[in-house]
Amino acid sequence: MRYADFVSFTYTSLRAQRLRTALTALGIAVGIAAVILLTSIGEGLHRFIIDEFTQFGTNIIGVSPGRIQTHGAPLGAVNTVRPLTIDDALALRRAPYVQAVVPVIQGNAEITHTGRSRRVTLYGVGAEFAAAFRMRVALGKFLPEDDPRTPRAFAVLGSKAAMELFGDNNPLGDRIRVGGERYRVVGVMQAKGQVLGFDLDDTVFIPVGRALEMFNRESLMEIDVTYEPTAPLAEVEEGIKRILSARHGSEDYTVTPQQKMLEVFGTVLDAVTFAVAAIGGISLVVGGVGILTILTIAVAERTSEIGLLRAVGATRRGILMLFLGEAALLAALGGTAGLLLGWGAALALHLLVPALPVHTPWSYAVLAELVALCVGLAAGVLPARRAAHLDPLEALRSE
Amino acid sequence: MIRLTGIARTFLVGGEEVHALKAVDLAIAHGEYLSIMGPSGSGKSTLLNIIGLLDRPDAGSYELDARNVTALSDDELARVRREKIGFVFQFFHLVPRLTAGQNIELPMVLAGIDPAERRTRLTRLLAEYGLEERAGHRPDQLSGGQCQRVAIARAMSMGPTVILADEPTGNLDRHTGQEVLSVLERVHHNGGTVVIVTHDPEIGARSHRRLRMLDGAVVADEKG
Ligand SMILES: Nc1ncnc2c1ncn2[C@@H]1O[C@H](COP(=O)(O)OP(=O)(O)O)[C@@H](O)[C@H]1O
Ligand SMILES: [Mg+2]
Repeated sequence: MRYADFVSFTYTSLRAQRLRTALTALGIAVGIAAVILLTSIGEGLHRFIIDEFTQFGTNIIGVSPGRIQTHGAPLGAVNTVRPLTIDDALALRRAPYVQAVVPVIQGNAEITHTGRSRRVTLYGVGAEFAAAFRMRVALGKFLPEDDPRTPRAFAVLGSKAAMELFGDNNPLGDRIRVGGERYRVVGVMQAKGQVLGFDLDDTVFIPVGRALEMFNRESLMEIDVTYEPTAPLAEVEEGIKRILSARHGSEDYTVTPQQKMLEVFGTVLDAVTFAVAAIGGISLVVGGVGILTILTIAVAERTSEIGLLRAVGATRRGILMLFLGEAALLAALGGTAGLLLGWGAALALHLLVPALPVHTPWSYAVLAELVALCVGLAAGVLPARRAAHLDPLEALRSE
Repeated sequence: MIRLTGIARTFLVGGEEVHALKAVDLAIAHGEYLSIMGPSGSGKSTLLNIIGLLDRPDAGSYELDARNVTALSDDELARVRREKIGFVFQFFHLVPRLTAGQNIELPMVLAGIDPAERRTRLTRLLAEYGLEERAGHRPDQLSGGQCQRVAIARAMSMGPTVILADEPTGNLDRHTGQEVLSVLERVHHNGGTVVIVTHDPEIGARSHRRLRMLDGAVVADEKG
């Protein structure tokens, strides 16, 4: 039998039972739509989270004090952990491929200006902070490159903090109090919005040396290092460790490249998407049972036709293929409908709830179609085999 | 052309053996017009089904076009049926969702004959069996006589060695039956070999060779 005739024959059989075909295909369509909708949400979430993280750049390595073991307790519990200092940060500038080194300490502080006051998140940072994290300054400048040990008392406000303290007035040059000490405002950041639940606008940035004194702390919370995007990550990491270990006498700190973090995130989020796809896949199985049922009925109804086909020369294999073809075509029809349905639902969801990130992963769509086809074929095997094994004479007599 | 030697067929019905055919010898030459008559249950259909390779004998041998087809595999049997046998059934056995034209084409489609060739043959068959106007109709839109003409055209579509008709007029009124019979006779006039199983003595009388069966045996074989 020629391929085109084969397709046309199976198609004609399905079309002869329109309602039945539509309902059976619907079972598969719902499954596919579920897979596509759920993975679209999963993938959207994935992209959303990765975007949140990468908006600060991807070629960042974080260095934090203390050694984090994969098994939990920090090794430094027995050994003393030496603090991460501004001098450490200065030393890291000599590491190969390094572009910027930003010491960071974070805490809360009260800022006041002419009677108005507000509790905000305080960041003690190096001068390269804004550039390293791709944060834009709206007014004035970011903190200047002072000697990190004796920095001037300058502050940069986050957009919300500035608005709360100054309203529409220009705060540049004005004096504010941060944790009781007097600072001069030299800049205001552009609004950044919430990032993973943190408000980056209700903030004040001051030189890290002063922040350490204010909090009476010895150690930085973190040193963030950016490196040339084309640099080999392993060598960058190696360079940082060489310098710090020489200064500290041991590896009593943890180096976390953003890239590796993203990989871990990616793996976790991929697992989530896959799990969600698998849940949708279960409804495909239900659709498969529908195909099995309908085809079993069709074989019973068309027994005499099967006998006739055998009498005019169809082989058992030919009959098997015809019914498998019907199963596959049913699944493919349902799959296509499900694809449109799922994709449409994902689009509609995106339009109705713009906050919900939705992105259709086409690899999953293709995979879902293939799974649907396999489900169809698997469901078709039993009835098709039954059809193929009918005795032609008995089948002919069945009318 | 067809040579049956010692063909026997036994069925087991409720633990008892029914000898549907008991050592039948029969030779049918090319171009013969043969009728098989006999009481119900005498083995006529069983004989026809064995000739048509739809059923296998329990004993004996069968030679079709100088080839021993007694022990062919299932797939080979299907292929031989496709090439050499044309069936006409009492209940037509048309595929209800296909048009008359598509029903006639069916054996050619299964055989993988290319569409251009199929169209030529279909046009010729439709003309030959007076079905041009009906090509696009489905079986439920055709009369019994037309259905049987479609079935005959289908049986002829692969240019078979023999046409086997099991009570082809059994489901038709007298007049339509005559008409279908004359179509089968035309097949014979054009050189085809036709075997008809029938109850109707009048039909039997019109054939050129008359077989009479009783209890699974051929009891009379008259020519002329
Ligand atoms: N598939 C079968 N199973 C059991 N018995 C059968 C079967 N086919 C035919 N027979 C028996 O074989 C005998 C001959 O049947 P058949 O060839 O159909 O007779 P006819 O066509 O002359 O009426 C009958 O007794 C019938 O009951
Ligand atoms: Mg009979």
